Amino acid sequence: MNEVINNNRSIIVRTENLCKLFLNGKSEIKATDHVNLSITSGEFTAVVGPSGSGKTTLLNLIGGLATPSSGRVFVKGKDINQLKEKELVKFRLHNIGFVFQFLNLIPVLTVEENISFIMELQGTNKEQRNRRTAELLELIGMKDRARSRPYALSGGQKQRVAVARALASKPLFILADEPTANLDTEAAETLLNTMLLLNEKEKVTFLFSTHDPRVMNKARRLITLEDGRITKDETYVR
Amino acid sequence: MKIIYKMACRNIFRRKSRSSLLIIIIATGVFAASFVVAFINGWANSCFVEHIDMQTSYLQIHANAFSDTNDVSEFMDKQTIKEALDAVSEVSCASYRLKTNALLSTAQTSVGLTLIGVDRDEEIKVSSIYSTIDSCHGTFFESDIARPIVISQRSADRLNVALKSRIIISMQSSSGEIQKVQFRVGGLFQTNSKRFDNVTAFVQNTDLMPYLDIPDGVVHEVAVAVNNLQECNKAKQKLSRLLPEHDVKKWDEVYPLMQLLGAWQKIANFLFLALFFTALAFSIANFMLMSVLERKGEFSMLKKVGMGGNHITLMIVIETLFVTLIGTMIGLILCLIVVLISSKSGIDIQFIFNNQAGYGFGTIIYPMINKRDFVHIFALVSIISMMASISPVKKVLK
Repeated sequence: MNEVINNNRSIIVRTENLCKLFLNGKSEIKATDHVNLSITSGEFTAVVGPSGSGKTTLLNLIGGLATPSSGRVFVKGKDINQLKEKELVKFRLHNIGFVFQFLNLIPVLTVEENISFIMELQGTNKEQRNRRTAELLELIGMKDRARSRPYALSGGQKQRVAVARALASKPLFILADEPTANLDTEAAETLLNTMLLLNEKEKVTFLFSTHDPRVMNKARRLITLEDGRITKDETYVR
Repeated sequence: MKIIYKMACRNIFRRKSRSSLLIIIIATGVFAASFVVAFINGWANSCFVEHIDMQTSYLQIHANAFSDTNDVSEFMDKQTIKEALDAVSEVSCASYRLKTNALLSTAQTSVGLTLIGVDRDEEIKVSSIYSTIDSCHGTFFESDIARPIVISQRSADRLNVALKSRIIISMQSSSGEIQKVQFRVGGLFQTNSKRFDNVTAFVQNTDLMPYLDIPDGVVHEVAVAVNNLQECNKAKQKLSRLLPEHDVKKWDEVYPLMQLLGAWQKIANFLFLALFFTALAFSIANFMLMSVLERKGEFSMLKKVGMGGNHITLMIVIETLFVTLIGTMIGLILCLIVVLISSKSGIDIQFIFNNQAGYGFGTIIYPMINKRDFVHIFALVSIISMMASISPVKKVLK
């Protein structure tokens, strides 16, 4: 059951006392320390903080890519840490979209094949796949590069394709780990505008980590992490 | 899952030089292995053909008791056999023979052997012994020598006789009397089998019959030729039905060592291929391991976005299978070309045997490979490529 906070929005991600410890020799490092947060549908949220503050770890925990040392992660009301490995892979496939800092695209597939890749894994039929891929290519403004291979794209274009791929299967939310980290100003701007457009048009929920001020300025909610703890959680109307 | 096949196939050509090297290694291995199989096949076939052509023919018919005792009184009615053979369409021709144990003596020495009485015109249709006699070593009963005997060059050496030399033959008639008859050497044959040469001599039916004290129109052995080797079993079954009182044997039953040779050939081929391809599997596994390790990041991303272990396994297995099958196809095509060429010209292996034939096969081998061998090779290659993908798959899924 989705947890409803008002008539329009429901909580899709909730964490409870989320902790992740890493061992460094004999000492323990708390990457996340009792993190409690909720993400509602349609949010455009940035997790910010200095390097080593636990942003990537938090995103990995929410995406089921890492197991918490203690605490729980609920996605759509379901405790994802109770899922078996196979179930978790399937759950991720159907519910979460991912955009990584680099190594996002499959080099041997074209742009359109990369976008439809997740849908094909999900078993979506060809007609639907083609329609959705065409829609997304239009949205990200890369219709003319549909048949290009990733090596022929710029960093910004690759990230836009990655966003389109993450979005193709209409997931509950998209996790983006430092999506603009390797991009120049113009490419970062274009990517952010694309993400915002998708957030508005398709009501896609974005949760991304960043320490890029340009991204922070566009986010509607900023969660600040320091030493694995949430120190600030602010909402903005932009 | 079309996308998995697409990714697997394109991944092969991602590192062209490495994939090409692996394909070349597999192609070379498959070529070498399949050519050795073709060579063994050719060698075994040479043994079988030599054996059928020179010694046994395709089928032999004897009286039941004659097979056990070689007793000249255990003969068969020629007309009965002839009628049965005429009724079997697979039979192409036959030679009706008399057969007895005999002692060949000269002034210096004597040797014991099997004396076969033949009709020249019938015999040359079922046996190629006549073709081994070259012009300076006489003829196969074509000369005007009285009571000619055709012995092997080896027996001639043992007896210290030459062409036209006199030989006394001692044998026992059906009534038990010892007969001594003088023959003259009319021809010297030489096959590739020392064993056969040492124990066989030929005379004409008409020269032998009076001394065996047997009635007209009887024979001891019928050598039967069929249209081709594949029809041997069928012809044997039919003849066994038509001649229930007689012993009908196939060429490999007459000389069971041939059955052993046939079985050994199949086992040797299989073991050789299995061992060879197992070794090849390690090379393939090594290449595939390198290939997946350098894509570790990519596999990690694929797993994160929801590609299951079974899809990743399938992709690596297809990649391995595809690259292996390309190499195998090239190797087999190369082998086919070389076999086609060498099956016409033959490969002379006389140097291995120090120019001395006598092991029961010709020294020129004509390699041959058949559909069954291709199927075996393909099946083995498919299995080893699956085996070779286990280690890379485990590494990726770890």
